[in-house]
Amino acid sequence: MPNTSRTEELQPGEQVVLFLRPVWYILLGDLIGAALLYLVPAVLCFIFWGTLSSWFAMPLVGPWLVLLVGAYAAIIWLFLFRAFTDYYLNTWLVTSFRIIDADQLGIFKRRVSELHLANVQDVTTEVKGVFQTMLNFGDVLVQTASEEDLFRFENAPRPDHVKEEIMKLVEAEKAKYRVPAPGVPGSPV
Amino acid sequence: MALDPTFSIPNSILYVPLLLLAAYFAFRALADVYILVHFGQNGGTLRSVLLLFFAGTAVIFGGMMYALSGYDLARPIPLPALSNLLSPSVQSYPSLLPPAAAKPSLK
Repeated sequence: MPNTSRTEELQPGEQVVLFLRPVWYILLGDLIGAALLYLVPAVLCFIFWGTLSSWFAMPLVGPWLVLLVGAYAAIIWLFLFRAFTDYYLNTWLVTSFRIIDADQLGIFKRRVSELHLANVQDVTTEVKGVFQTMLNFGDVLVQTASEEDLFRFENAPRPDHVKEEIMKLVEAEKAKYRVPAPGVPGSPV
Repeated sequence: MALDPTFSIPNSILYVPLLLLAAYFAFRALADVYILVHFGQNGGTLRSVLLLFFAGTAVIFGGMMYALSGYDLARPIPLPALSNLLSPSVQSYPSLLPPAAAKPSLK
């Protein structure tokens, strides 16, 4: 069972059923983008090395060019790390009582939403496109009694399995509060 | 208005943007590391990514410092040379150019 982070302390008797993070493939887009941003200037440098080498040899221009190249490399590296941070801290925790959705929206912006299973009305999955279908990931949408509240977990692995697990938990949670009809065996006298 | 040819700036002024870049990078990186460690689950993946990030950072900044060490940053640069860089009369400051460019071949 995964450990929960400090913001998502469990209540007594609460058990973690699912701990979800978007599929790692979505980081490939950022990785390919960063690789291209590194490769394109490298190829251009290779092509125009004759001119560039004379610029780098200039005592006045050379150091500034080095600084420019270093800053470019550092900012792309930072962008890549930022993308990983957003990916890593975007989690869904489904427990026996509730669903906790934690989103990292920037360096100092984090949103943690909580939904009690008894308030879940409907769970929907959306699998769109070739990649999502082939790699079995997609969005899971949880609708609450309120029309405005919608929990959406994007790029969840095995969305159908997630939906089934949530529906099982919702049924079990609602059964606790259900009052059996009079005359039904097991109903309170 | 002609610039005073004796007026010069130290090339070490380059350290100002370099330090600004390093400070910005350090701030962003440390903030990210803090929230990752604070909110994330400590595990092998996180440790590996952090190690990779620090290694990459060391390569980038180490490479930059190594490349800069090849230049004489303590040498003053005469200010008129800045304008001459954009003009054809760059030969008036031949020491600013690489040897090949300072002494063009007449062949």
